[in-house]
Amino acid sequence: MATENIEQVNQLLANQGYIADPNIAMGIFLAQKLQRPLLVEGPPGVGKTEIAKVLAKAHNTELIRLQCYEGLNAEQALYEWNYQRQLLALKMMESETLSIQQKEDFIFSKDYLLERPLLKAITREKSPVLLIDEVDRADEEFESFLLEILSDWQISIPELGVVKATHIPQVIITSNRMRELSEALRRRCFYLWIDYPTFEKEVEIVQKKVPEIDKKLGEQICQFMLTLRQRKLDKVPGIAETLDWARALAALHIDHLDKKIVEDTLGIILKDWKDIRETSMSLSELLDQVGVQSKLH
Amino acid sequence: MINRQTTLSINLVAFCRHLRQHDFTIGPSEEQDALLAINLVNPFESTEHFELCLQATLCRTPFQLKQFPQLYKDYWKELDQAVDSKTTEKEEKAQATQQSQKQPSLQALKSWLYGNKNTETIETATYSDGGFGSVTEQVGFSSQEMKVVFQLVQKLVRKIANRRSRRYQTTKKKAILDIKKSIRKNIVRNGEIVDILYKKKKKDNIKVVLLCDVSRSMELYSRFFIQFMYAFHSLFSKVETFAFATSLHHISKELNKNSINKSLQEVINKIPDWSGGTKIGASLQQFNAEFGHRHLTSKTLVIVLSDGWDTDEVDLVGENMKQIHRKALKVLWLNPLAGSGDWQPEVRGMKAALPYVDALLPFHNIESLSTMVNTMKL
Repeated sequence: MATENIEQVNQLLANQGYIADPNIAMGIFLAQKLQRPLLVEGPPGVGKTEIAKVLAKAHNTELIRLQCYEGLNAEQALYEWNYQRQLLALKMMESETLSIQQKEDFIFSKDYLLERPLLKAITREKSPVLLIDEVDRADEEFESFLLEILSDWQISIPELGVVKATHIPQVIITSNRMRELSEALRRRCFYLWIDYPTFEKEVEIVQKKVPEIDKKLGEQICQFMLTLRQRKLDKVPGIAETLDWARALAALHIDHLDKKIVEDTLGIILKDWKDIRETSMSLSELLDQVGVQSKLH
Repeated sequence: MINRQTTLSINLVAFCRHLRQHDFTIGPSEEQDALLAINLVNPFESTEHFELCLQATLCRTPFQLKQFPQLYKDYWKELDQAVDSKTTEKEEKAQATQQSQKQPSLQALKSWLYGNKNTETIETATYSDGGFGSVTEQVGFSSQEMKVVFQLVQKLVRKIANRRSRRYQTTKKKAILDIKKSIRKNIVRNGEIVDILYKKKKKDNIKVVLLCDVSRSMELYSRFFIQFMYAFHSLFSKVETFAFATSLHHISKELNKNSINKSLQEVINKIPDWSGGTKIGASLQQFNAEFGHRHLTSKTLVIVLSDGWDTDEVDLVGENMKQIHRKALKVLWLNPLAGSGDWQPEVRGMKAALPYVDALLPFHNIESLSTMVNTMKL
């Protein structure tokens, strides 16, 4: 479904349960219309990767994901020859009287090519959503290599020739800002920053994603998370943690927060022992700020 | 296609120029994007959409996103005022530079620069190997000592330049067997491995950022630091140097001169707050905001030269050091006071920065430089 205006993008995302701010809808709309990659940055767990998943679902197309990590190289991202199969094929051809050129043509054909995410993304019949996740984890060399693909939409395979994109995929690049991305990559993309949500937005997300939760509990959870994020934590919990917590509390049939429940389930929202220890120590004060003091005992 | 002659498009191009003046990297392609994007969202229908549309096409970093609303407002609503304030700011800056150049605190360095280049001693109430108190510390260098500094920095630079990456490169010398490439190479021989290829880890492309405190409390060590930085610039091309006291100054260009005297003269002229107060937090914040995106990568070694005395908000030091530590390969803090046996990182700035420092090393004379070079691990 092609989107013609921002309201349609908003509707499309809402249908998939994604509550988008106006700047998110605008970024997606312009990236789609002008066929540019969308670089999404923000703290972990605020829904950056979710954008790609939601878009793929909304457009009923394939989501191709390239998870970046240190040491990721072009072979792992683009294509690789299946050497084992090539060797087997050569052994089987030993008795045949074929020239070296003929043998090479045979084993360097598409049958022996292992497509990796980037090649997959440009050769699909229907334009997919290409998610290049956590690009900041990859090396700078990989980033430079990515620039070539993102601007030309073609891949050169020496043995086969140039493979041009059948369709330009919709590219979502996410980064947690572990390191700064190059100016060149930034300039090729439209940019979107997603921050922690406001209280109202988070309540809306919780109600949409965890409909079984008690309305008041949902609000208490969001208020607690909002207050918690203002503290100095090593790993600040994102929306993903809020949703995990809400689901867990809903599954336990809990309808309000109290000190014991929060203490018992703190590991769902905090993933660092120091954060857990410090939060546990000041839990009464925190709950007081959240406004659930009357229910402490 | 859009008509480029409309008033809106002319204003838009001028707005892009306005953003460029505030360090936004906007070229013709960004201008074109903005014009095309405006064509897609009717700008006359919603001013909010218009602003969001420009923000989506012209901003590339969180810092720019933060600046954008004000710059947008300045341009489209208070253009005249924005121009005036900029001029005033420039004038104020020029005046401040003139005034600060006359500061008596620079006299010691200037006298060394313009003639008195002998090794000298300065009576000061600060640290020496003997501990705290009123002591005598050697701070100047003879040409022989300068030679030693160069040799030690050369050793350090070699260490940095020889760091290995995780990536491999093919080599003919015997190293790790590269099975994939060997098979590929021998496919013409029906896969019989005759030519063996090897691989070895590539050299890492490490860059260095030096952040040097030149406030009053560091005055005693200024010469040593200047010579260290000058030697670094002479021997290593991928180094960027910043000096700070109450604000940050990029001094790489000034240090890339043929003679140390010329460098020192230009550095002094460039830094109006030399030997002034110390605002480490604010300076680090300025570094992160203005230069971080360009100079901090996972291959950047950040070396901070400071005693950690800070008169500013101490939280700023922690926050900004955390940011630097997260983005850089390693953070070294070279503290001239740390050489004392009973020294503890008790000063506010040092305490706040410590969790985000990979190594805290003493650094106040040739011996400490030598120890640093020999013990440093990358």
